[in-house]
Amino acid sequence: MDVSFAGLPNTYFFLAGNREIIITRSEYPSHYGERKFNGYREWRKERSKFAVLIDKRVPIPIKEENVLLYLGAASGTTVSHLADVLSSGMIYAVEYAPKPFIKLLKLAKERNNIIPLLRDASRPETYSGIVEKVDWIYQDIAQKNQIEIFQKNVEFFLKEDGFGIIMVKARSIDSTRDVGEIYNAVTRKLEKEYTILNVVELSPYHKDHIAILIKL
Amino acid sequence: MDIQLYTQKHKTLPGPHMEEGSDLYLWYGRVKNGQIVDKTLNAEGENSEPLSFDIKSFALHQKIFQDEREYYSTLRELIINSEEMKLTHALKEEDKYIIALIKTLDEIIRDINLLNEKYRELKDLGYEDEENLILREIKTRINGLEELREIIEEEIRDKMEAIAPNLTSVAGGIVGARLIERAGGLDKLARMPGSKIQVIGAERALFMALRKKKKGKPPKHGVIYQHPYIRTLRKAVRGKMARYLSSKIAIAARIDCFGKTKYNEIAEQVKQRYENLNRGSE
Repeated sequence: MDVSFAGLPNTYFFLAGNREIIITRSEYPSHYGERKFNGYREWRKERSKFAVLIDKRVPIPIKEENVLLYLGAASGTTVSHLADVLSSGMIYAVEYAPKPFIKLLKLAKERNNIIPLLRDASRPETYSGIVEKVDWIYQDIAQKNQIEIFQKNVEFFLKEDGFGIIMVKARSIDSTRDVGEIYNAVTRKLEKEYTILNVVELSPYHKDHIAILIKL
Repeated sequence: MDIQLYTQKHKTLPGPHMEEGSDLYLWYGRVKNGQIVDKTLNAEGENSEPLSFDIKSFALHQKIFQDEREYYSTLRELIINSEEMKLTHALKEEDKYIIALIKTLDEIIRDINLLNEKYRELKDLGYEDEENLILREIKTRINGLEELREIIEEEIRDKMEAIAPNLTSVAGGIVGARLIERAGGLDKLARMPGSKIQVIGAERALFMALRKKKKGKPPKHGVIYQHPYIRTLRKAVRGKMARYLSSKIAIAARIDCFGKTKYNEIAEQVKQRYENLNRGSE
């Protein structure tokens, strides 16, 4: 079998034809139209930025039993795979827009390790009495003040030895400035408070996006 | 087992639990001075400051739940129910529905006009309905669209009556709905001054007048021109009526957005004003 361990729990590289794909072990049905291979679901790089990190072999020290706070869960594409990865952990998935939340709620009812929150990620105080201290904060919200939102959530919920992943969409921070300049400004801002472990460009799957992995 | 305390790196203030007498709202209860004082489930859980301890460890330490499993299953059930209720509420924002309906209505009206135009062009070439299948088909489609248009207008009037009775009584269902659409929601309309409502839909003319001092006067009316009380007046007094009507619309929209009562006086005042202007007594 052309399967190899991908560095994360329940996640593997799989050779389908001559293309390498990422799969997660999952007993659940397909959530966003992804292919299923008896007991595994394909994690599509075009749909999920997290999958690109795995594709690029970025080391992510996530454990099966970790608790993760997901900001900007949208309809739950990435959440569904992270729920496979964190098979004995828990995901708090925050999304403010009602339309995609419908699908996220459906997913949460199906799994027992997702807690969906229809709240505004820029106001962590509104869910401060619900979310415990977490090992990971993952943020994928394309907003101008996304770094401030991240910092606020870190202050509220991240454990002392916790990690964070921020997906930065250059074009939502500033649509006119040079992309490299924006990345520099963002990393400099984050450097002040956290240790930056890795900065990864997500091209060609996601244009003008970078992922930043930090440690508190 | 000890409570795991997580002191945050960059926090200068102590956690609110350390302050005397302050309340913390956790989903499984209220905490005061480090003690659980009220064990009721509540999906809100809002606290202004980051909590300096882990709420799960605290709950398990206080033996509120037997184990982690029970903690999570209770929390999951509570949150899924509450968020589901919130979701239905959020989706039911009926002004969004009205906005969508108005947009559909505009598309349909455009289609009717286009089809009518083509229909007339074909007729001008000398073709008649009786002998030409295409003409007959076009006519049927136009009639079908006209019917659809009426159904949608009816629905808009019904919904407007339900969510904004005062606005509907002053501006009428369709004009009111158009104003909501242009403003981007009932709450946005309610926050607008009357003078802005007066020129909604005439932005081009307005900015033209503001930019070039020589060219053009500011517009008298935008969307509200479609209101029968303005359309049917003679030109000289339309501006007066538009000014009066739009300020009353602003009042009505505010009542609908922030209150519940229906006041018939506003519509009567508007009608009075219209009659005076129409008779020429002003």
